[in-house]
Amino acid sequence: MRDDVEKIISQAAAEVSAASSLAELDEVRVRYLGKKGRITAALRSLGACPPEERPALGKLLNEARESVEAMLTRRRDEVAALERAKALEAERVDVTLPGTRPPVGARHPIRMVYEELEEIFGRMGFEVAEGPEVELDYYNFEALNVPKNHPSRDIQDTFYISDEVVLRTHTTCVDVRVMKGRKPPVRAIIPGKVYRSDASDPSHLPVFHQLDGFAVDEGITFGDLKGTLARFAREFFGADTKVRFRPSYFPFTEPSAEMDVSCVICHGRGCRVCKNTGWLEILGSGLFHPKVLEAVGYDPEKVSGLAFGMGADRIAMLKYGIDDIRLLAENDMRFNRQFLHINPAHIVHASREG
Amino acid sequence: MLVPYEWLKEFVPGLPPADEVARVLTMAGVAVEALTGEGEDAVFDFEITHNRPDLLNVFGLAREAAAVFSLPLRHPELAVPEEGGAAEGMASVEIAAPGLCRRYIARIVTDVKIGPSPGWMQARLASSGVRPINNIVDVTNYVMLEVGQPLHAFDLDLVGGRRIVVRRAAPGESITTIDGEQRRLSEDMLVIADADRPVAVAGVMGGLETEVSERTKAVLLESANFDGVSVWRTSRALRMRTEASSRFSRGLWPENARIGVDRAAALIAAIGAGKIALGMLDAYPGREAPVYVTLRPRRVNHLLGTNIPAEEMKDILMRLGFIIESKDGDAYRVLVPDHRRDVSREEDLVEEIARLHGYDRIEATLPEGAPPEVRLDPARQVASRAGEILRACGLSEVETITFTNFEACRELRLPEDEVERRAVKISNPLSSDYTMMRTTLLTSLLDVLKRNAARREDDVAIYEIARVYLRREREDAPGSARGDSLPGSGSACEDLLPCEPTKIGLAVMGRIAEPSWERGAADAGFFDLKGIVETLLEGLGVRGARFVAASHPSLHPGRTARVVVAGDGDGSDGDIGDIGFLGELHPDVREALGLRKRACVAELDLASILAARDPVPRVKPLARFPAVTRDMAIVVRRDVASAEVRDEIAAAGADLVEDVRLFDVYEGPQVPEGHRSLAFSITYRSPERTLTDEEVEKAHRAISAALTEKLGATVRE
Ligand SMILES: [Zn+2]
Repeated sequence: MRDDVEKIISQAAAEVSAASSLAELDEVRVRYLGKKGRITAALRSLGACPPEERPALGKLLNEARESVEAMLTRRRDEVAALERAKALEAERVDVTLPGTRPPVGARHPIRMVYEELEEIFGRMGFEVAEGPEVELDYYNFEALNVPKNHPSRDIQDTFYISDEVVLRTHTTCVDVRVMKGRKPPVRAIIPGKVYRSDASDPSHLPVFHQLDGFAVDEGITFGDLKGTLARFAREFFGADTKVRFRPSYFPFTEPSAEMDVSCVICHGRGCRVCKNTGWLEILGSGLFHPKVLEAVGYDPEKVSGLAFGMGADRIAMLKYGIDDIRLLAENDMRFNRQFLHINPAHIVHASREG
Repeated sequence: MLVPYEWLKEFVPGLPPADEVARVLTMAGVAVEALTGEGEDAVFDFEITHNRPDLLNVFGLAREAAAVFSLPLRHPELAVPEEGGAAEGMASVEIAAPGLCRRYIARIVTDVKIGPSPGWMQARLASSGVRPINNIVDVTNYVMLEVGQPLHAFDLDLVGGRRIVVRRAAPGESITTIDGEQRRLSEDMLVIADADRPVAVAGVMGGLETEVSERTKAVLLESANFDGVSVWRTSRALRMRTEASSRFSRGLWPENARIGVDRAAALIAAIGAGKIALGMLDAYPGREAPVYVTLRPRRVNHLLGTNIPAEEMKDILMRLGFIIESKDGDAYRVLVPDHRRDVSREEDLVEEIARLHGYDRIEATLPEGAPPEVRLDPARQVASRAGEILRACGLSEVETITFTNFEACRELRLPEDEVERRAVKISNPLSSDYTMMRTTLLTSLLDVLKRNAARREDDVAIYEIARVYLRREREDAPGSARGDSLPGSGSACEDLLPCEPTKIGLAVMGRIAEPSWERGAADAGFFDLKGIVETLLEGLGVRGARFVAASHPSLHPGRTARVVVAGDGDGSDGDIGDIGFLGELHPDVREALGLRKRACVAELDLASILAARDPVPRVKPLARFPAVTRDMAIVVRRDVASAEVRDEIAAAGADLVEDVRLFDVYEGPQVPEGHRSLAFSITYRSPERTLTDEEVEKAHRAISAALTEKLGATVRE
């Protein structure tokens, strides 16, 4: 009998280690430890043994059962791990397959430019103001020192709604509206659409975008104009951007200046975009003409103001390397969607390295 | 304007090389747009600002260059070798419209020998972009280029009565100009007439009949000063922009007429083209008083933020031809030279001083003191937030042209009378595509879909937050909620302006998400767009928006909704307001636009959203007691709106219903004809205690009874 028990154990051990699935292990368990299993049967047949052998034999069988159970448990863990590994292997994916992206819309480059300009000037205390696009001739021209029926109107080709009403040709008219309702100091920028009756071509659209800005207070100087705009240029185009101011003419500023920035493409070395000058014309500016200050009820002897205006389309074109302004108005999705991957920070960084 | 370097150098012999001249003049405000050629053959292309007509000639530029470089200036030869009879006896000049002609000088040239002009003159004309014609005409053009005075040569023998009358055109008069065109004149136009008829349009172009020709024996040389505004209006009305008209329009000074006529006479004599009669006919009714401007050096420095010494300021002004006449305290009395008609105030002197001192030498500073308080515009903030939400929903931003036309409106089936009534029309449109301002974003957004579809791009999801333009009707007061409050408004003229309400426009055609290899992708439909609108409104703090079946001419009659929102709930009129609409595009419109896939659009009014939203929502306490969720499926007539059922459930469940969620809609064999099955998941919860099964059961039964009674629903068990 003792030999039988050892045989059972060794046979069980062999079967357990041969089992390669949880199902097979279960069969082994039934074969040895089930109701009709060999060890169970042996235990049940103890009664047929001589009484003096029973305790030792019983102990032996119980040990055998425990040992088989232990073997089963150990093997079950092994097999389970193997089976899990197999299952995981079956679930292996090709990690190079494309991810499932939630849909995300792109910004329009003009809006990106405006947002950045609003942030930069906002940090300098400029608030954002707006005004009508369909504007009175008075605000668009007369209050800005461009009289009615005057040759200086030739500078801009204007869309007329009626004798008194035009589509504004610049956002500068809003400067007048804002100042009229406020007392200095005021600092404001005005983003918005403007209109000129120019036929569409790679650099003209009848509807385009400007950003005007002004600061009025006692003691605003031409030096303040230079400093404010140079700071804008460095923050927008990159810290190493240089600026220069050239005398110019606008009816509503005196003195007037145009600001150039060192070419963002070639960094001053000369290229096609800057016509080999190393400089790009970016904006017009100046100190408010006293007639403008008088028109809004300010005393030009006490108050002065710096003012500037720039084309947001041109700035977007320079910043993002767009060579045809019409792309900004066409909304060809192949163009618009590229701005999912373009953000202002990239560009400044790239231009610094270039 | 093209100017040869060597011509400029004739007047300023000490000029540095051309590239240096170009650089320095550009930085002094006389912009050189381009420099071609090398060395002495270089040619500048100047871009002269509108305020400086005195620079539209070689001598004017030389005078400026001499001032900028502090170099001596030579003047053109003006000594006229006169011979023969007196001009007085050979013709007469009369100014009958002195308001429009300040000065008219005529010199008489006899023994004219028409022929080619000398080579050096032809060469300078050619490099300035002017075609040589004959010696007399070339001299007039040469002098215009050199000293900026437009001149005209009449064949004296063809001038009726040898008489020049400067007058307004008579009613019905016309003239054939040198270019061969017959021009009808109106009474506000100034003409040069002889005894019988107009012989030139003053300051614009001469007449064909009195033109100088091979046969010309005597010439009347005109050098005049015409009113710029009058010349400008005439040249616009006649659609003739000439070198002369653009110079007069920008403003010339009467003294220059004398310089011009003498320079021309001197040249005619010098090249042997004729003899100059003694003296001249000079009608000069418009002699101007000298212009004085006060200069306060302290104020100059105050405006510029500089410390430029008064001596430097005086030196700069004197170099530019200003005369410092006297000093009174700290103020100087400065006489403005004739040719600087653009200078009339102290600020003009500030610019002169700044630009010759050098803009680059003015130190860059920042305005002193703390920046003023900034006013934030809630509309802009809401618009910006709306953009973020819509992009997160997969819509891309577009920027469209704000123009449209009647045909585009017709394509969208917009009612013509309304478009006619509300649209802002452009009186001088550039093209038939852009004849008016849009009245809705739909025209613009659908144009984007159309253009993309034409490029076989059928999946487009876009939004734009921008204005539409509506002619003001009586009920829209300026600054009303439908328009915008105009800064600086107040004059009665503001009523002439249209409303410019900002709209949020959405358009979705085909798929929104990229198709996925794993899940594929479906085209968006009405409920996708509605879901986006709901997400948007919730994100902007608009609670309780409702969607009501509606109609819109451009949209599918069964798939259109108005979006309405409860106001502040105070029961006043307009408490429930329209904030916009959404719907699927009408198939007729879709076909007209050539869209292959279905499209849905929405337009919401920003001001209405602003008025409807709860700007600072308060946080609700978290529930402390468990919720019980029970489902309820009902069968109702198809025309009972799900929102109606939902509201009834909420009302019948009293305070115990926390949430009602529709999770299934079914129509088919198991449901009677004309009916549908709706399945709701109802969440019951009390903020005060744990609900018992009995309480929930009672509420659930009450709801079931209410639906049966009020909506004729059958509750399915
Ligand atoms: Zn460059």
